[in-house]
Amino acid sequence: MNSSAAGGDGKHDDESALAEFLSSLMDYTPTIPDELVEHYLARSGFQCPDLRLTRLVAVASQKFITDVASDALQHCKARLSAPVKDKSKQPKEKRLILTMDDLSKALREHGVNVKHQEYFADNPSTGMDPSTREEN
Amino acid sequence: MNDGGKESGEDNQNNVSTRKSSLPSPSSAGADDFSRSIARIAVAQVCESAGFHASRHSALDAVADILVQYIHDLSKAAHFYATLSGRTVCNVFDIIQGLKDLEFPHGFPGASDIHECAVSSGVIREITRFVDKTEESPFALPVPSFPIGRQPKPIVSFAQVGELAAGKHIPDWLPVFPDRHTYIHTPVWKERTSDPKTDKIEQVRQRRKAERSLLGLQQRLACNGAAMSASAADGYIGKGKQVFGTNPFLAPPLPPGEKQVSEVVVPDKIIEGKRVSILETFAPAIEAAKQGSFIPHVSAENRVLPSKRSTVHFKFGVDKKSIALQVSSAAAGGKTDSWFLRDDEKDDKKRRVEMILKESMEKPDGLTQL
Repeated sequence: MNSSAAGGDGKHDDESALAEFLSSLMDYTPTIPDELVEHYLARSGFQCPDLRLTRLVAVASQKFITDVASDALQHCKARLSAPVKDKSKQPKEKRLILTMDDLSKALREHGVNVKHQEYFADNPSTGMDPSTREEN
Repeated sequence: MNDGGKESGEDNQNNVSTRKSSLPSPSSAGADDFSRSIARIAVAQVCESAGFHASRHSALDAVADILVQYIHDLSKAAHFYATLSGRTVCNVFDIIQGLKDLEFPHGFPGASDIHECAVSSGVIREITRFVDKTEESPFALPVPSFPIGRQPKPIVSFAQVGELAAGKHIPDWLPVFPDRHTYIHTPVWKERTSDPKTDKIEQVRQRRKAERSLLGLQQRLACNGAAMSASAADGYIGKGKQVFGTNPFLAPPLPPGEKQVSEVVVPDKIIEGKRVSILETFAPAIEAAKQGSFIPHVSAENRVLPSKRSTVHFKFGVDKKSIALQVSSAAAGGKTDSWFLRDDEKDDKKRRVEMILKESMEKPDGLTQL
């Protein structure tokens, strides 16, 4: 009985916490714009007029991206701080640049498998047929 | 945060997200490009706040792709859970459930607790902590709501308009009828372009007009005829319209012998026969050439002429034309003499004429062919 009553209190607390959090989202502006999130939500059939839920999705995806980015940053820092035996290969500047190597390592931890292409054709006019390039 | 394009030569500047996503139905590439470039900017901002100084284009593209895919997957999962509960509109719990699904491979606190309430799940707690911890950094640019004109205009119902339905069998919440003119039946008659009465009047008017113009024409013709006869009587040749009255072609033919006409001179020698003795015809010319003097019979006026007509050249050669000319001119008679001496002033020409004559004498047949 006691435990169930405590659980009920906890549930009530959680409910109020969730409501409070959702209402706090109205004031919090995520980096990912609402319009972008709404566009992609509408594309996949998601219907909700509530702005708070859109913000929730935006915050969740921002958190995901931030996690990935911070992981990649750690990888980048580790790579830069690693002792390099060959002096010629050592980068001259200690700038932190997001590269595909670090990104793929960070994404692997989050369950995203990114295959880094050997040769990345940025532009369709680089020489390949666009239809074949889509499969990359 | 600047992009890594300056550091890396391998990355192009103008690769503004031409990559196609794995999302279904990217129907219009333009709209997709727009949203994708916004996603790139947002991701770049997030990376900057995470501590990066720069990024490669390819990495930024990849992260933007992942962001779009994340939103897509999350909304799909939420939509799925809403549909599962028999709703069309999603709520918080659907999203939380979707977040749990997405976090599942990664693992999240409280995942092992089966009976945990969705409200107090670890996913929400982590997001709450993230919101508290991370400082707010809004999107750098104002974003217009897009795509434009996606949602169709809803049709208002009878209740919203406040209009009563046509019958009691039509409930209030049904959409109102369209405007009356869009469905009402109106008989269509074959419209006459004009009234028969006015038609008749117009016909009569035109006929009258034609008659009047015809009358005018007749009057004018009569006037003209009178004028013509008058002019013929006076013998007066006027200007303008009356000129046709004295048309020489319309005049009656003159009787023969009334007017002096120069008679046509027919060279009898040619008529007699084609065989002309060339030596005979050219005898005066040859004699004149042998004498060496060119002006025995030429008068003073004629002598002056060559200086005036210096530009006129007569061609003498072996071609048929020149010989024919000589023949005809020789047939003209005494004129030949003066003409020949006047124009042919050079010795070589004389010699050529002699040569031609000799040739023709040797071969009389050749002349007939000429």
